[in-house]
Amino acid sequence: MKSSMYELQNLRTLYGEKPVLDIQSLSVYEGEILGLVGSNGSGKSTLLRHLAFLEAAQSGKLHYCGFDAASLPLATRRDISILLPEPYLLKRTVRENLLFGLKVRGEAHNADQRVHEALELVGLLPKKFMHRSWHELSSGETQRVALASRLVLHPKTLLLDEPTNSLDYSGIPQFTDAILHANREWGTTIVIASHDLSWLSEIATRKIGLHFGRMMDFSTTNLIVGKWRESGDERFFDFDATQSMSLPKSYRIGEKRGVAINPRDISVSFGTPNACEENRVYLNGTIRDVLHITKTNEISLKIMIGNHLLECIESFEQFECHHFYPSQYVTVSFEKSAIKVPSKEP
Amino acid sequence: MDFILSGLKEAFGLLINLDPETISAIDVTLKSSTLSIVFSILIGLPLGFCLGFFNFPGRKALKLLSDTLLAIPTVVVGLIVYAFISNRGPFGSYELLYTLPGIVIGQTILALPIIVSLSATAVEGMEKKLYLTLASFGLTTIQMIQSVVWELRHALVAVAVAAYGRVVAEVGIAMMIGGNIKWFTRTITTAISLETNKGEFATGIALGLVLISIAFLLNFMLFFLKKRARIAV
Repeated sequence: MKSSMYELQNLRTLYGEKPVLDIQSLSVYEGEILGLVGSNGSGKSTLLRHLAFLEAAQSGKLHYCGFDAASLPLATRRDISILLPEPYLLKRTVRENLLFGLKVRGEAHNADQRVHEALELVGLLPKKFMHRSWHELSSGETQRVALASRLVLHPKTLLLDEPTNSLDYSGIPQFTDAILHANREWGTTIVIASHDLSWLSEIATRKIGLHFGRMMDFSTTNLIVGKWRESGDERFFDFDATQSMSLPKSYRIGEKRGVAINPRDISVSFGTPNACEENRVYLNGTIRDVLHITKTNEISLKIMIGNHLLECIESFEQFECHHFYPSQYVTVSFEKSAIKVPSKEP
Repeated sequence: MDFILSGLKEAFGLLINLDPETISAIDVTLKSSTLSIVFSILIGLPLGFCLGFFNFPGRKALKLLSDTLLAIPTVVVGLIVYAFISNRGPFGSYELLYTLPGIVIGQTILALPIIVSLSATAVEGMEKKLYLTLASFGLTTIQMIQSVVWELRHALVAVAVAAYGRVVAEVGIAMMIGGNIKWFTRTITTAISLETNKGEFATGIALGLVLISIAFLLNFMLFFLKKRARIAV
C-alpha cells in the first residue's frame, strides 16, 4: 500500500449558509491519478483549492504529507502545483511564464533546458513559442503554456481543474501524454476535476464522484435528480408517464440531492422479463450508445428511459453473448438497495 | 482676430528661436512637476498598494478620505502649504516660500491622493485569477508584492501619467507658493496667466502650445498603457 499524500476528515466549507463541501473522509495516495467527477457546483473546484492550500475550509482536517495548513513549510507547499480553470498567464513572454516558478524557488539551474522539455511535453515547439507574448496565444495554446509552467517545476502533486476545457480533440492526446509523463517519470500524484467523463476514465486510476459537496463511492453518471411524488408510504420517481421507481418514505430523499445508482449494479436483458422480483425495479428503454472501456475491459451502455439517460456497465463476456447495439429495445433492472441516497443532511 | 493670428506667428518664432524667457518657464515647469511626481510615487505607491491589497480595519474610511482628496482644489493646497511655510508658519525658518522646493512640496501634496487612490483602485481591481495564480506558486509575501506590482505595471504607470497631467497643468500652487518670479519660479501656467494680463499674447500662446503638446504626449502614453493593461489573458 502506498503512503497517502493527503488525509481529509470531516472537511466542511460553507458559502454563506449553503454547504459547498462536506467530505467525511478521503485519502489521496502517492503516485495515483485521482479523478473528481461531478456536475457544476458539486464542489470539485473548491476541493482542489483546499488541496492547493489557496483557500481554507471552515472546519475539519486537511493534512498534506502530515502537515496541516498552519504547519506546512513553504518548501513542502511548493511541491503542490495547481492549474486553475481558464488559466491566467502572467503578462510576460512564454519563456518568462515558465521561468517564473523556477525563479521564485531559486532553481535557476538548467532552467532553459527545463523550459524546453516542458514546452515539448505539452506539444509546443520551443523555438516557435519561447519568445511569444502572453497576448499572442490562442486559448488552447494558453492552456498548454499554463500546464507547461506547472510541469517545468516537476511538482510532487499536480492539481488540474478542468484542464481540457479550451482544448480541441486533436490537442487532448498530447495533453494526456504530458500528464501521464509527469505521473510515470516523476511519480507525480495527480488530482483532476473534469466534466469530460470518458477522458477522465481513460487517464484516472481512481474516480470519486462529488454531488452537492458530498462524496459518492462511484462516478455520478447515474445521478437522478428531480421531483419525487408522494403516495401512501412510498415516494415515486417517474421516468415517463408509465414507468416509475419507488422508495419507502423512510429514505430521506432531498429533492435537490437526488439519488445515484451504481452503473455496475444494473443488469440489462432483452424483452420483458419472465419473473418480476419484489425488490427489483424494472424499466424499459432504448440503447443509445455502446462504448468499450479498454482499461477494465467492460462495456458501457447508455440507455434512454423516458427522459433520463442511465449508464449500465456490463462485462465484456456478457457483451459477447448478447451483442448489444444502439436503438435496441431492452429492459434494465436493479435491486432497490442499489439506489443510493447521498449521506444525510449535515 | 488679427492679434490672435499675429500672436500665433510670434509664438512659433519664440519657440523656434528658443527664447530664453520661454525656455526658463518650461524648464521650471518640467523640473517642479517631475520632482513632485517622483516624491508622490515614492510615498503614494506603497500607501496605495497597502490600501488596495491588505484588509485592515479602517481601510474603507481611508479609501474614502483619499478619494475625497482627489478633488481638492489646487488653491486650497496652495493656501495650506503657504500657511505652513510662510514666515509666520511653523516651517517659516526654512525659507521655502517663493522657491522651487516650495512648489515641489505643494505639487507633491496635490499628486499624492491621485497616486494613492488610483493605485489602490488598480490593485483592488486586480483579477482574482491573477491573485490565485500567483498564490499557487507558493510565493513569500515579498515575492507576492513584487509580482503583483510587475503584473499591474501598465495600470500603475498609467496612474503616474494621469497624476503628472494634473500637476503639470495646475496654476494655483505655482502662483501662490512660487510667486511667478521670472527666471526662478515662473512656470508655464503662471506665465500664461501673467502674460495674458499684460496683453502679451504671443508668449502666452507659445507656452499654451507647449502645454497642449505635453498634454497630448501624456494622453498618447495613457492610451497605449491602458490598452496594454487591458490585454489580460
